[in-house]
Amino acid sequence: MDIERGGRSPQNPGVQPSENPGKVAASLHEGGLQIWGDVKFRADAVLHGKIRGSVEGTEKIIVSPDASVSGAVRGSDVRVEGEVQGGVTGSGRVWIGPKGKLRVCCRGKSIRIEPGAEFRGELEVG
Amino acid sequence: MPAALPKIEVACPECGRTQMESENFISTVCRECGHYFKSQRARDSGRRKVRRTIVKKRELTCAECGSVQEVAEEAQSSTCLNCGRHLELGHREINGEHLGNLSLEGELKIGPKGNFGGSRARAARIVLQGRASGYLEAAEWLRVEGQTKLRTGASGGKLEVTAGAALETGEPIQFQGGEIQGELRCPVARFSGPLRIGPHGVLIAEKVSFTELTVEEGARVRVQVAEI
Repeated sequence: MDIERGGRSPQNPGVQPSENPGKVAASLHEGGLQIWGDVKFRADAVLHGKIRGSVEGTEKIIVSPDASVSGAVRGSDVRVEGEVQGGVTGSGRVWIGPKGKLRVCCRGKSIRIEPGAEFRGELEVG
Repeated sequence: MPAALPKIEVACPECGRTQMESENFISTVCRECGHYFKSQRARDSGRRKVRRTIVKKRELTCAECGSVQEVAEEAQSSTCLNCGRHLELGHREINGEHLGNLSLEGELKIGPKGNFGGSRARAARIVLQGRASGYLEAAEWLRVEGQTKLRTGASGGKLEVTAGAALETGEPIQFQGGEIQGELRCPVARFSGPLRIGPHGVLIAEKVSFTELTVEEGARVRVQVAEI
């Protein structure tokens, strides 16, 4: 699955979608949405619903509180507010919010894990 | 017949009426309005009694039994009222070889040429610039300012590894919080509070736990298992 354009712009602090006018933020935002398979983004992305696979993007990715990803999430800046079971790799900042759940690994140039977040796995920075 | 005591005239502070009283009277009652009042001398001596030397005190927790007692701020040593343990309250600096255990309520500084060879050192604050082979317990903080290898572990309030400094331990460490601006290598590090790795910080460990983590850009972290 390859998504280039999407719906609403997120209003979250921390990792925000870029303001590059050439790229529109994509959003997987449908009530009860479930996707089987890997997802690739070419723009900033906000994830909602369940994804049974991995998510890969070249821009910023936000995993919303109501989202869960069974595979890995790769992006530039990644913000986890929901659940990611396959680890996160960011080429920039990785931010795990107070209700975020992450397993396997967390890789990035800089990392912030808020109190209340759940994480167990490998940690790699730099 | 005894000689009459000299009398003085005093005025009632309530109604202002004057009456004669003995020269060294302490208190009396006004014969006009019945008001009871003290002489000026009695009031002055009462004020003097209030003057006391105030000794500044501070709370001290016994390292052995944990009971809290008050000691004079300037005291250099005390004895625990609960368990009888001798408590050394001053500071200590080690610039040579030190064998034997240490327990201070003040600050312990292990200088660049110092070597703590005892099996256990306990202090409120520890500055580590030299070497130590025993377990270090810093109730408030442990600050590493040199290139140090600890054969055992360490515990306490906050662990600070300053920029350019390095700490390598052979056994697990346990602190309430940590700020790593230098390098920390250990098998297991447990932080019951926040952990922050600065832009030049390095953390290499098999297992690390914390409640909150901030790793700034430029830092290097390799942890096999990290958990909250």
